[in-house]
Amino acid sequence: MAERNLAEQIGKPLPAGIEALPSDEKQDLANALREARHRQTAALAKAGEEGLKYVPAFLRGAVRKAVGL
Amino acid sequence: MSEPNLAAQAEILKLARVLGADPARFGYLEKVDPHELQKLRAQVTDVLFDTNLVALQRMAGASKLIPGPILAKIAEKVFGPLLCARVAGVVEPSRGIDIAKRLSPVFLADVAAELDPRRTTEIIAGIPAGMIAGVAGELIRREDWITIGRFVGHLPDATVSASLRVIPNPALLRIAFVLDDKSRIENIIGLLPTSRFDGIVRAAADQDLWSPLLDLLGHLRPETRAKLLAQFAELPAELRARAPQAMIK
Repeated sequence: MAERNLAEQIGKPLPAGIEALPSDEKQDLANALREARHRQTAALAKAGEEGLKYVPAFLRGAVRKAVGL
Repeated sequence: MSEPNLAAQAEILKLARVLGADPARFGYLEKVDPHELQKLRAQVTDVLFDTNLVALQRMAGASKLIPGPILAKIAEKVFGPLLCARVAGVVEPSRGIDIAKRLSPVFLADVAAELDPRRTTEIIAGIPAGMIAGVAGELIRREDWITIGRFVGHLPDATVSASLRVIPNPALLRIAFVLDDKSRIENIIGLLPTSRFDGIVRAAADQDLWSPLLDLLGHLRPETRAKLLAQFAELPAELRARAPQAMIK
Protein backbone atom coordinates (compact mmCIF):
# COMPACT_ATOMS: atom_id res chain seq x y z
CA MET A 1 0.00 0.00 0.00
CA ALA A 2 1.33 3.42 -0.90
CA GLU A 3 2.41 5.61 2.02
CA ARG A 4 -0.04 8.39 2.81
CA ASN A 5 0.96 11.94 1.98
CA LEU A 6 0.80 14.80 4.50
CA ALA A 7 -2.80 15.85 3.78
CA GLU A 8 -3.96 12.23 3.91
CA GLN A 9 -2.27 11.67 7.27
CA ILE A 10 -3.74 14.85 8.69
CA GLY A 11 -7.15 14.15 7.22
CA LYS A 12 -8.00 17.81 6.78
CA PRO A 13 -7.07 20.52 4.26
CA LEU A 14 -3.54 21.78 4.96
CA PRO A 15 -2.98 25.46 5.87
CA ALA A 16 -2.54 27.38 2.60
CA GLY A 17 1.12 28.20 3.31
CA ILE A 18 1.90 24.51 3.77
CA GLU A 19 -0.14 23.39 0.75
CA ALA A 20 1.88 25.84 -1.36
CA LEU A 21 5.23 24.21 -0.45
CA PRO A 22 7.13 22.23 -3.13
CA SER A 23 6.22 18.54 -3.12
CA ASP A 24 9.62 17.39 -1.77
CA GLU A 25 9.20 19.64 1.29
CA LYS A 26 5.64 18.39 1.91
CA GLN A 27 7.00 14.86 1.52
CA ASP A 28 9.62 15.55 4.20
CA LEU A 29 6.89 16.78 6.58
CA ALA A 30 4.83 13.66 5.78
CA ASN A 31 7.87 11.46 6.55
CA ALA A 32 8.55 13.30 9.82
CA LEU A 33 4.93 12.83 10.93
CA ARG A 34 4.96 9.13 9.98
CA GLU A 35 8.22 8.61 11.93
CA ALA A 36 6.76 10.37 14.98
CA ARG A 37 3.60 8.22 14.87
CA HIS A 38 5.62 5.00 14.62
CA ARG A 39 7.92 6.03 17.48
CA GLN A 40 4.94 6.88 19.66
CA THR A 41 3.14 3.61 18.93
CA ALA A 42 6.29 1.59 19.71
CA ALA A 43 6.92 3.56 22.93
CA LEU A 44 3.33 2.98 24.10
CA ALA A 45 3.52 -0.77 23.49
CA LYS A 46 6.81 -0.99 25.39
CA ALA A 47 5.56 1.17 28.28
CA GLY A 48 2.43 -0.96 28.69
CA GLU A 49 4.50 -4.09 29.32
CA GLU A 50 7.24 -2.37 31.35
CA GLY A 51 4.74 -0.54 33.55
CA LEU A 52 3.13 -3.79 34.63
CA LYS A 53 6.32 -4.76 36.44
CA TYR A 54 5.67 -1.97 38.95
CA VAL A 55 2.03 -2.92 39.52
CA PRO A 56 1.42 -5.08 42.64
CA ALA A 57 0.91 -8.73 41.65
CA PHE A 58 -2.67 -8.86 42.95
CA LEU A 59 -3.65 -5.97 40.61
CA ARG A 60 -1.75 -7.09 37.55
CA GLY A 61 -4.52 -9.22 36.02
CA ALA A 62 -7.10 -6.45 36.28
CA VAL A 63 -4.71 -3.83 34.91
CA ARG A 64 -3.64 -6.11 32.07
CA LYS A 65 -7.31 -6.62 31.14
CA ALA A 66 -8.06 -2.87 31.34
CA VAL A 67 -5.09 -2.00 29.13
CA GLY A 68 -6.01 -4.78 26.70
CA LEU A 69 -2.69 -6.62 26.90
CA MET B 1 17.36 38.91 11.19
CA SER B 2 13.85 40.13 10.49
CA GLU B 3 11.03 39.76 13.01
CA PRO B 4 8.86 37.44 10.86
CA ASN B 5 11.94 35.26 10.48
CA LEU B 6 12.37 35.06 14.26
CA ALA B 7 8.69 34.24 14.68
CA ALA B 8 8.89 31.50 12.04
CA GLN B 9 11.99 30.06 13.71
CA ALA B 10 10.15 29.90 17.03
CA GLU B 11 7.30 28.05 15.30
CA ILE B 12 9.76 25.66 13.64
CA LEU B 13 11.23 24.83 17.06
CA LYS B 14 7.73 24.12 18.39
CA LEU B 15 6.83 21.92 15.41
CA ALA B 16 10.14 20.03 15.57
CA ARG B 17 9.55 19.33 19.24
CA VAL B 18 6.08 17.91 18.55
CA LEU B 19 7.56 15.70 15.82
CA GLY B 20 10.59 14.70 17.92
CA ALA B 21 12.86 15.83 15.08
CA ASP B 22 15.89 18.10 14.69
CA PRO B 23 14.69 21.68 13.98
CA ALA B 24 17.46 22.08 11.38
CA ARG B 25 15.59 19.57 9.22
CA PHE B 26 12.76 22.08 8.73
CA GLY B 27 14.81 25.11 7.70
CA TYR B 28 12.70 25.32 4.51
CA LEU B 29 9.70 26.35 6.65
CA GLU B 30 11.27 29.73 7.50
CA LYS B 31 9.56 31.18 4.41
CA VAL B 32 6.10 30.12 5.66
CA ASP B 33 3.84 32.51 7.59
CA PRO B 34 4.23 31.72 11.35
CA HIS B 35 0.43 31.59 11.76
CA GLU B 36 0.24 28.89 9.10
CA LEU B 37 2.97 26.96 10.93
CA GLN B 38 1.00 27.27 14.15
CA LYS B 39 -2.06 25.79 12.38
CA LEU B 40 0.06 22.91 11.04
CA ARG B 41 1.44 22.25 14.53
CA ALA B 42 -2.10 22.02 15.91
CA GLN B 43 -3.03 19.56 13.14
CA VAL B 44 0.09 17.46 13.70
CA THR B 45 -0.51 17.39 17.47
CA ASP B 46 -4.07 16.18 16.89
CA VAL B 47 -2.89 13.42 14.54
CA LEU B 48 -0.27 12.19 17.02
CA PHE B 49 -2.82 12.23 19.80
CA ASP B 50 -5.51 10.44 17.79
CA THR B 51 -3.05 7.84 16.41
CA ASN B 52 -3.05 5.95 19.73
CA LEU B 53 -6.27 7.29 21.23
CA VAL B 54 -7.76 3.87 22.07
CA ALA B 55 -4.54 2.66 23.73
CA LEU B 56 -4.22 5.94 25.64
CA GLN B 57 -7.83 5.73 26.83
CA ARG B 58 -7.26 2.16 28.01
CA MET B 59 -4.18 3.22 29.92
CA ALA B 60 -6.04 6.13 31.48
CA GLY B 61 -8.79 3.68 32.49
CA ALA B 62 -6.29 1.22 33.95
CA SER B 63 -4.65 4.03 35.91
CA LYS B 64 -7.79 4.21 38.09
CA LEU B 65 -6.91 0.74 39.44
CA ILE B 66 -3.38 1.66 40.50
CA PRO B 67 -2.57 3.52 43.74
CA GLY B 68 -1.29 7.10 43.14
CA PRO B 69 2.25 6.65 44.54
CA ILE B 70 2.83 3.59 42.33
CA LEU B 71 1.37 5.34 39.31
CA ALA B 72 3.68 8.33 39.84
CA LYS B 73 6.64 5.93 39.98
CA ILE B 74 5.52 4.24 36.72
CA ALA B 75 5.07 7.67 35.15
CA GLU B 76 8.64 8.75 35.89
CA LYS B 77 10.46 5.41 35.47
CA VAL B 78 8.59 3.80 32.56
CA PHE B 79 6.31 6.17 30.70
CA GLY B 80 8.62 9.14 30.49
CA PRO B 81 7.57 12.67 29.55
CA LEU B 82 6.06 12.05 26.09
CA LEU B 83 3.69 9.25 27.05
CA CYS B 84 2.74 10.98 30.31
CA ALA B 85 1.86 14.06 28.28
CA ARG B 86 -0.31 11.98 25.93
CA VAL B 87 -2.10 10.12 28.73
CA ALA B 88 -2.70 13.44 30.52
CA GLY B 89 -4.87 14.42 27.57
CA VAL B 90 -7.39 11.63 28.25
CA VAL B 91 -7.11 10.94 31.98
CA GLU B 92 -9.77 12.21 34.40
CA PRO B 93 -8.58 15.71 35.46
CA SER B 94 -8.78 14.95 39.21
CA ARG B 95 -6.59 11.86 38.69
CA GLY B 96 -4.17 13.85 36.53
CA ILE B 97 -3.87 16.55 39.20
CA ASP B 98 -3.29 13.92 41.91
CA ILE B 99 -0.45 12.33 39.92
CA ALA B 100 1.08 15.67 38.87
CA LYS B 101 1.33 16.69 42.54
CA ARG B 102 3.47 13.60 43.20
CA LEU B 103 5.99 14.34 40.43
CA SER B 104 9.18 16.39 40.72
CA PRO B 105 9.34 19.88 39.13
CA VAL B 106 12.17 18.62 36.89
CA PHE B 107 10.04 15.77 35.53
CA LEU B 108 6.98 18.01 35.27
CA ALA B 109 9.05 20.45 33.22
CA ASP B 110 9.92 17.55 30.88
CA VAL B 111 6.23 16.64 30.62
CA ALA B 112 5.24 20.28 30.07
CA ALA B 113 7.52 20.42 27.04
CA GLU B 114 5.51 17.58 25.45
CA LEU B 115 2.05 18.46 26.72
CA ASP B 116 -0.80 19.76 24.57
CA PRO B 117 -2.20 22.52 26.79
CA ARG B 118 -5.46 22.57 24.78
CA ARG B 119 -6.29 19.07 26.03
CA THR B 120 -5.07 19.49 29.61
CA THR B 121 -6.46 22.88 30.66
CA GLU B 122 -8.35 21.43 33.65
CA ILE B 123 -5.29 19.60 34.97
CA ILE B 124 -3.03 22.63 34.53
CA ALA B 125 -5.56 24.87 36.28
CA GLY B 126 -5.82 22.38 39.17
CA ILE B 127 -2.10 22.24 39.97
CA PRO B 128 -1.20 24.59 42.87
CA ALA B 129 0.22 27.95 41.73
CA GLY B 130 3.40 27.44 43.78
CA MET B 131 4.08 24.17 42.01
CA ILE B 132 3.56 25.71 38.57
CA ALA B 133 5.95 28.50 39.60
CA GLY B 134 8.50 25.79 40.48
CA VAL B 135 8.09 24.25 37.03
CA ALA B 136 8.35 27.72 35.45
CA GLY B 137 11.60 28.23 37.40
CA GLU B 138 12.97 24.97 36.01
CA LEU B 139 11.94 25.90 32.45
CA ILE B 140 13.62 29.30 32.87
CA ARG B 141 16.81 27.55 34.04
CA ARG B 142 16.65 25.59 30.76
CA GLU B 143 15.84 28.77 28.80
CA ASP B 144 12.80 26.91 27.44
CA TRP B 145 10.78 30.04 26.62
CA ILE B 146 8.70 28.13 24.09
CA THR B 147 7.16 25.75 26.61
CA ILE B 148 6.28 28.57 28.99
CA GLY B 149 4.86 30.52 26.05
CA ARG B 150 2.60 27.62 25.06
CA PHE B 151 1.15 27.42 28.57
CA VAL B 152 0.53 30.99 29.63
CA GLY B 153 -2.78 31.21 27.76
CA HIS B 154 -4.09 28.23 29.73
CA LEU B 155 -3.16 29.33 33.24
CA PRO B 156 -5.42 31.16 35.71
CA ASP B 157 -4.34 34.71 36.67
CA ALA B 158 -3.26 33.67 40.20
CA THR B 159 -0.89 31.06 38.73
CA VAL B 160 0.46 33.52 36.16
CA SER B 161 1.09 36.06 38.95
CA ALA B 162 2.97 33.47 41.04
CA SER B 163 5.05 32.50 38.00
CA LEU B 164 5.76 36.11 37.02
CA ARG B 165 7.52 36.58 40.36
CA VAL B 166 10.15 34.00 39.35
CA ILE B 167 10.51 35.17 35.73
CA PRO B 168 13.29 37.75 35.27
CA ASN B 169 12.63 40.69 32.94
CA PRO B 170 14.76 39.49 29.97
CA ALA B 171 13.06 36.08 30.17
CA LEU B 172 9.67 37.79 30.26
CA LEU B 173 10.42 39.55 26.97
CA ARG B 174 11.59 36.29 25.37
CA ILE B 175 8.50 34.41 26.57
CA ALA B 176 6.09 37.13 25.41
CA PHE B 177 7.70 36.98 21.97
CA VAL B 178 6.93 33.27 21.51
CA LEU B 179 3.58 33.27 23.29
CA ASP B 180 1.01 31.09 21.51
CA ASP B 181 -1.86 33.34 22.51
CA LYS B 182 -0.69 36.92 22.02
CA SER B 183 -4.12 38.25 22.99
CA ARG B 184 -3.09 37.38 26.57
CA ILE B 185 -0.15 39.84 26.61
CA GLU B 186 -2.15 42.84 27.86
CA ASN B 187 -3.57 40.72 30.68
CA ILE B 188 -0.10 39.42 31.67
CA ILE B 189 1.52 42.83 31.68
CA GLY B 190 -1.47 44.05 33.73
CA LEU B 191 -0.59 41.45 36.39
CA LEU B 192 2.90 42.92 36.78
CA PRO B 193 3.62 45.67 39.28
CA THR B 194 4.38 48.84 37.26
CA SER B 195 7.66 49.00 39.19
CA ARG B 196 8.91 46.28 36.81
CA PHE B 197 8.27 48.35 33.67
CA ASP B 198 11.62 50.13 34.04
CA GLY B 199 13.38 46.76 34.32
CA ILE B 200 11.66 45.42 31.22
CA VAL B 201 12.76 48.37 29.09
CA ARG B 202 16.29 48.20 30.54
CA ALA B 203 16.42 44.46 29.78
CA ALA B 204 15.65 45.24 26.13
CA ALA B 205 18.49 47.77 26.04
CA ASP B 206 21.00 45.64 27.98
CA GLN B 207 20.41 42.40 26.08
CA ASP B 208 19.41 43.75 22.66
CA LEU B 209 15.84 42.49 23.02
CA TRP B 210 14.32 45.32 21.02
CA SER B 211 12.43 43.01 18.64
CA PRO B 212 10.62 41.25 21.51
CA LEU B 213 9.93 44.63 23.15
CA LEU B 214 8.51 46.09 19.93
CA ASP B 215 6.37 42.99 19.46
CA LEU B 216 5.15 43.30 23.05
CA LEU B 217 4.27 46.98 22.59
CA GLY B 218 2.31 46.07 19.47
CA HIS B 219 0.01 43.83 21.50
CA LEU B 220 -0.73 46.29 24.31
CA ARG B 221 -3.56 48.75 24.77
CA PRO B 222 -2.49 52.38 24.15
CA GLU B 223 -2.50 53.31 27.86
CA THR B 224 -0.29 50.35 28.85
CA ARG B 225 1.99 50.99 25.88
CA ALA B 226 2.32 54.63 26.97
CA LYS B 227 3.51 53.56 30.44
CA LEU B 228 6.27 51.40 28.98
CA LEU B 229 7.25 54.09 26.48
CA ALA B 230 7.46 56.58 29.36
CA GLN B 231 10.03 54.28 30.98
CA PHE B 232 11.90 54.13 27.70
CA ALA B 233 12.03 57.94 27.65
CA GLU B 234 13.56 57.83 31.15
CA LEU B 235 16.47 55.62 30.06
CA PRO B 236 19.92 57.24 29.90
CA ALA B 237 20.66 58.65 26.44
CA GLU B 238 23.35 56.03 25.72
CA LEU B 239 20.84 53.21 26.27
CA ARG B 240 18.12 54.89 24.20
CA ALA B 241 20.65 55.32 21.41
CA ARG B 242 20.83 51.53 21.07
CA ALA B 243 17.13 51.31 20.19
CA PRO B 244 15.96 50.76 16.61
CA GLN B 245 14.22 53.61 14.79
CA ALA B 246 10.81 51.94 15.23
CA MET B 247 11.20 52.36 19.01
CA ILE B 248 12.05 56.04 18.83
CA LYS B 249 9.16 57.01 16.52
